[in-house]
Amino acid sequence: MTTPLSNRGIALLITLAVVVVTLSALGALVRVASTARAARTSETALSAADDLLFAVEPAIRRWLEQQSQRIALAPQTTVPGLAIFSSKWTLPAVQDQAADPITIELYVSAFDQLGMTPWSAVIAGSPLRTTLPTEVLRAVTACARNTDRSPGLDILQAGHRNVAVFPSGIDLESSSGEKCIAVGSLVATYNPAVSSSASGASLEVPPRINVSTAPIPLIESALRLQGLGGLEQIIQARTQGRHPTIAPSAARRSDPSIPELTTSSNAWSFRIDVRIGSIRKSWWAVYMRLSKWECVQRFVIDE
Amino acid sequence: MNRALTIVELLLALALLSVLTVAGVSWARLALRAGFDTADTLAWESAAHATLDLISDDLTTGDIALQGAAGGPRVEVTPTELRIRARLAASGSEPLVRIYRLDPESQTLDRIEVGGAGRADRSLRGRLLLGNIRTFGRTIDPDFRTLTVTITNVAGRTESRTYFLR
Repeated sequence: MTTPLSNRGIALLITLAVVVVTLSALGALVRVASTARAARTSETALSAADDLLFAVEPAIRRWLEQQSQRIALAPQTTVPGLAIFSSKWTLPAVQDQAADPITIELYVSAFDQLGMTPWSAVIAGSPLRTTLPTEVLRAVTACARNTDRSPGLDILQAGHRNVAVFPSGIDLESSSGEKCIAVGSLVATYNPAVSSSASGASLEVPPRINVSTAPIPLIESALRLQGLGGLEQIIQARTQGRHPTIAPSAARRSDPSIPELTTSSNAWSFRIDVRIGSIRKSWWAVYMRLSKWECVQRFVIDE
Repeated sequence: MNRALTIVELLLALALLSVLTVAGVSWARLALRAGFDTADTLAWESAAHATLDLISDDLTTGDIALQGAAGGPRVEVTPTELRIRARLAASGSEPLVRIYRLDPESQTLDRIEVGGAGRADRSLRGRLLLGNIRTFGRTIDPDFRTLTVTITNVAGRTESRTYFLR
């Protein structure tokens, strides 16, 4: 015999079972739909990041043509780098697509290849290498010994996880390179700025040190090798934001182990950071002045 | 006054309960199967996109402007492979080439690196990218300087992307 109360109980149980089954099925569908949307958003953002990389190239080239030759960094700088571009903007939500507003950030920092210790000098045991931190020296020497590739930071990225390979971006406000100490901001892969396949790994072409951007210990070491003085004048000029003047080289040009001094650079590397929503992508690009400024090497920064 | 259910009422109640249960379970199964199918499709799409992203990264990275001087095109399509010359060699040895190849037997799309290896390790370095692949299309349009890559799996799903060869 059943009472109205037990009838209600049965009806309640049936309703509960239907609700549970329906909700779990709906939950699965919602999860799949949200995953699909997240995947689409992520794909669009990655594609836009790739597009931004190429969109920023003209700006970099313009900076190289118009600004790079005038750069004189403060003498207390520890890395030859500066922020050159920083931008942040928001794309409004797209009507009818229920998309959220997207914030896009783009940062570009430049690092002078001729303001760093040359890769070839590190391998050859030049006195210039004494200005480098020990772990950087060890990492470059070990990796260069074990590769057939031309110099590039990808070699270290694959082989050495215990040392920072790519420098972080420089803050445009402070323009301080203190936080950017890494192999990429201290060791030049394109100095001398000629094709490594053409020059080989030897020191046939002497490296060059840009006295307008290089850290003072590196300039001091290069001056000593050249048998020159004038460090105080260089420091003074850079303190005043001027290009230093350099005395004619005393060293014989035929000696490829002695670096030449210069006041401007023909090889710059850039860290390009793109953030689109929660997606971040960064590249390291090296530009060299051939007949015009060309991107000669580029890597995705895997952090 | 309380009274017992008649046999007809009981049968009706059982029939109604059975219909509701069958309908609910069928609907749930359909929904879950659709969910799993979509999840499988999404997983494949996601893996295919990751592969296409990897090709994009390989095309845009490495030694860019100096490849022409070293001879040979940077990107090459052969009857069986897509070859991307990534890095120049330091001293007369083989440059680093990244090869995307469909293995028709295992139906896998593989990425293999040859040359430019560490002197201590000259073994072939490869990794499996995608399984259950039926075709791996790759076409270079010399007029527009584009490379189109199309990947189709055994279920007939296709993912495609066109890259500018800069």
